[in-house]
Amino acid sequence: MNDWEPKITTFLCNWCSYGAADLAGVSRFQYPPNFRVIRVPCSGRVGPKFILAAFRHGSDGVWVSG
Amino acid sequence: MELTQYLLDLSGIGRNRLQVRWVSAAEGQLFAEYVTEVSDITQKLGPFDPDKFELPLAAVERTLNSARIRWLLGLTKQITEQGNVYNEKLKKEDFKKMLHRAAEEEYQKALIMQVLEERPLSVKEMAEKTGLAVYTVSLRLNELERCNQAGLKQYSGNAPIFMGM
Repeated sequence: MNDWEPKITTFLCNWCSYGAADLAGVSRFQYPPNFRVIRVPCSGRVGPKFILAAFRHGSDGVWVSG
Repeated sequence: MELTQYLLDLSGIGRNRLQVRWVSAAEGQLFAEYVTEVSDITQKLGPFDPDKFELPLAAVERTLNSARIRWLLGLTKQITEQGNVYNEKLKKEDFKKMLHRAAEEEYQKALIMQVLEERPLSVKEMAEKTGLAVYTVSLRLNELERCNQAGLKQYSGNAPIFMGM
């Protein structure tokens, strides 16, 4: 069980979290690698359809961040 | 967002699979912390099997697309802040409760519509497929019939067979 890695789809806002993710990388903070990032122009654009589609395509979790 | 999480709970997928976190572009450290947090939460929940949850997922989507839910969501601000046509204002908690009740009903209807899409079924078969109680199915089916979304197709023996329209 412990070697199982969750697949998490993240919707990141271009202007906020995507920048934060970039900064986290540049400043070399350590964080788990099991994220698939989708950059959206604004997290307000993320609707329920996106989230359900992510689940349907087999992600174990969805994270919306803006 | 809140409603989607509520529906995920209803459908047995669990609201924790969907997380929302706000991070500004200047908060790299915070972002890294959230990544770890969300990753831990999902790790605890274990793998998600989309095939097993195909029906609930489709029903959740149908619910969120339903006219009733979209109307209600669109009216949130008006009803809680300005009042309806009778100048009655609902408290935020009351509105949420009402929205949840509506969502639950719509979700049950969506489940029924979803299984009827495959082929016409009797009430008992619908109850088996959706996991709803027979009584709940007949209540929702009644509402669907009134809106012309489902109807009687034929009789098999004594049991009426219904179809989606």
